Amino acid sequence: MDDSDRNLLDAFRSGQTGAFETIVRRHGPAVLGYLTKMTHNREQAEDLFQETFQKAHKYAAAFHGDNLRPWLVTIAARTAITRRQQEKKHTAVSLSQPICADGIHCGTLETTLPAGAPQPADQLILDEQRRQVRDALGKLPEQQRTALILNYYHQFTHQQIAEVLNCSVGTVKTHLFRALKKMAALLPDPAGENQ
Amino acid sequence: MNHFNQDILIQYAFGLLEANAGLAVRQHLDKCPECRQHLSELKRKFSVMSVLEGDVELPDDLVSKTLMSKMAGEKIGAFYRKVWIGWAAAAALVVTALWIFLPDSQNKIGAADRFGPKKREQFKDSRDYLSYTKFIQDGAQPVQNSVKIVSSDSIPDSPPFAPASAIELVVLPAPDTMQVTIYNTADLTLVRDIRRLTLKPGWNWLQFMWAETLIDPTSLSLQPLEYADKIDTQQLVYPARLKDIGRWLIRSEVEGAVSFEITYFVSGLSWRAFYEGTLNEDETTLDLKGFVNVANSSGQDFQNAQTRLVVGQTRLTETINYLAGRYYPYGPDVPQQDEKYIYKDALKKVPLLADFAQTGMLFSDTSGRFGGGAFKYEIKDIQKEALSEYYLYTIEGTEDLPNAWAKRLESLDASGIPVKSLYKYDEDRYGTDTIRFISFKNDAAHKLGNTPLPEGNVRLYRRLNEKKNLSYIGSAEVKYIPVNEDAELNLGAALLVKVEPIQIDSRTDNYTFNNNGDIDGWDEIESWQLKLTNTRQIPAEIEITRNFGTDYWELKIDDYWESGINANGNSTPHAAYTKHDKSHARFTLVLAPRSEKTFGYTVTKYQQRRSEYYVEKMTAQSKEQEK
Repeated sequence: MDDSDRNLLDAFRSGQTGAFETIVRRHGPAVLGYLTKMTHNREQAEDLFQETFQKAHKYAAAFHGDNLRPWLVTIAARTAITRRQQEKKHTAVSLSQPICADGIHCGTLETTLPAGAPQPADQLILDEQRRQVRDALGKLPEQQRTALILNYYHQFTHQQIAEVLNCSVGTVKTHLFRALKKMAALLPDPAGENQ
Repeated sequence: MNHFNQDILIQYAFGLLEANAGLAVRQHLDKCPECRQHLSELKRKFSVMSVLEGDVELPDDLVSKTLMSKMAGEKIGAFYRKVWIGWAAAAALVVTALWIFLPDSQNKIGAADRFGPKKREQFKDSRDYLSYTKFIQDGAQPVQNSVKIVSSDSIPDSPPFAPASAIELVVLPAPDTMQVTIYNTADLTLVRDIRRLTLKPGWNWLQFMWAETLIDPTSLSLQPLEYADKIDTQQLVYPARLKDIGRWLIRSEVEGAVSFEITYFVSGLSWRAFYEGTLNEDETTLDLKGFVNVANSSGQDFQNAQTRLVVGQTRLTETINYLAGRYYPYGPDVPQQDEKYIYKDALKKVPLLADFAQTGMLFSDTSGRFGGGAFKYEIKDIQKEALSEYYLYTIEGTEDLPNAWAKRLESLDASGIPVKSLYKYDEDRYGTDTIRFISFKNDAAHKLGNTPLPEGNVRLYRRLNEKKNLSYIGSAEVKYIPVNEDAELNLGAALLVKVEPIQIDSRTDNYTFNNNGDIDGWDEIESWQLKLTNTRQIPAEIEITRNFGTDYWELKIDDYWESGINANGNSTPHAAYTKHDKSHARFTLVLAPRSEKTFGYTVTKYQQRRSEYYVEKMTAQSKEQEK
């Protein structure tokens, strides 16, 4: 039996215990990647991650597609949107107080510099670029950010995004355009251009 | 050649243009190096976004938690919670992760439903934003039914070293029971909540965070309600460089869920009483409704909290919001924030009247609860009990007190309270105005007397006619009125009832001389007329207090006082005065509707040595009376 999502789902439905873990491990990185970009907050992302897979676990039986990833990312996107709406009603604060002096969640040295990583100087530049992109994404309104991340990083079609955001394709295009326009203003100019 | 602007190029680069428009751009680009350059710059700029491409590494513990959580239908190790659950409380167990994987899953699966049908029912009919599911989600955690006692010897003597970074947090359940006691004389609220905390045997770190809430960190207290001899709350640590956080070190010989009571003081909750009174047409009886308004601007939401209100003075040496604003819980004694600023900030969060009106909470008995839903607002009983020097009002059932909301509850509804309407004229106290008072006694005869009445504002209306039209009379502040004490409402200057004193005559008489022939005493004789006007349609009882500026005086009321009238317009034998105190006389009389009367009196003031004559005369009089 090959290891496709289809077969994994069948195995999951027939009660094989390891099947769901395989699904989490296979698609978890993409889902967590999406949530991390969306929330800009690792703890919240992990929280939403669990919620996403809870829902996935609950509704997996009703899933009939062949590729789980877009489905899981869609659940994650909707979960994040729902959470955001709830937060608008109630002020939410992260319980995880930053332990680091700079107030940003700090990983250990190992996670910052994995084995085989680029040289520290390059790593610093990369880290800085990541921070700049995250900051820029963080400044986008919720819907624009959702549309852009789904489109750019997860290759969602406009139609798929429209389903996630529950709006028309035209609106998705508007969101994307506005998001990109803001990003163009927020992102740093390419290195070397000013020299 | 017209160049395309950046907007068009962005849309082109990301395929957002319609097919025709896209084609046009492409054709232009083929011919225009400038636009091509512009486009490639844009693409380079956006290429930096790719640094976030690729999947992130999935931590093993997140996979484990996720796999556990989908079994129990809840989140484990969720760090992120709403402030409305209350201040954040999380047990920091160094070996938590171990525990999470060990217990049998049977308990976990049952955990989501541990609130039982009653709690579900409570949420079913409610459109409250706190849905049942939400409650479960945030409130649930694996419940261990069995509690294991371990031997004291197996616990190391000293707690393990636990640097902040090594502490792992688990979500605590929402409080099982919450009690909020609000003092209105000081900005002080005592919060008691009871939660079940899951302990591991040995040393436990328990972490509390209360960002955005004005909690006095020095007031935090944690008490186990069970196994008190086996659980020892050892120290409360305020970690360095972190504000609004405290960690308890608990030594436990118990493994499993144990109920704890957590108490602390919080600033920002307040309550005040106010009243609405309606006088009947002839102003002899009063329907009095009392309300309490509870406002929460503490930064914390209180859900299902038993609410108690305390009447009485509380002595505070420091205000809670000052203590809450201090950077270090026990000093240095320098405020980090301007106290006034904190206070103002808290005030800002209190909703305006308009907000109440929007929610339908104001001026309506049948309006909705929060959010003005369709359900009926039930009038809750407010239980009252006496404490030693306080009086405690307990609102029946539990209340949700979200942050920045206020809530009005009815506390008193008495109708037909007999009242006395009185007009007072006292130049010493009120100047030349006639002041109107409504008075009654807080006792059973006045259909009150069950409880003291808390200080508050009274709005008074008068029923005008059969159609029950109301006219607004005015509002008055009522002081705290103990049982069996008189309540007097000052309604301010009366326009329709006037008192006008006119001095008719002033002369001196009965000079006395000392041995040198100098004057050493005399009498001052003053004649006054009091012109009284009542333009109202009901009789007015008037009390006039006159100050003579001396202790030695005698008053004679003119003969025509005797033709005074009573409330029925009949003549009364004598409009009496009483000696109010040594220098004041007080006249009391009833003036008929739409009438005007002038009364006269003559006062003799004995000056200097003539006061001896007065004293002799009074002494003789009292001796006469004794006989």
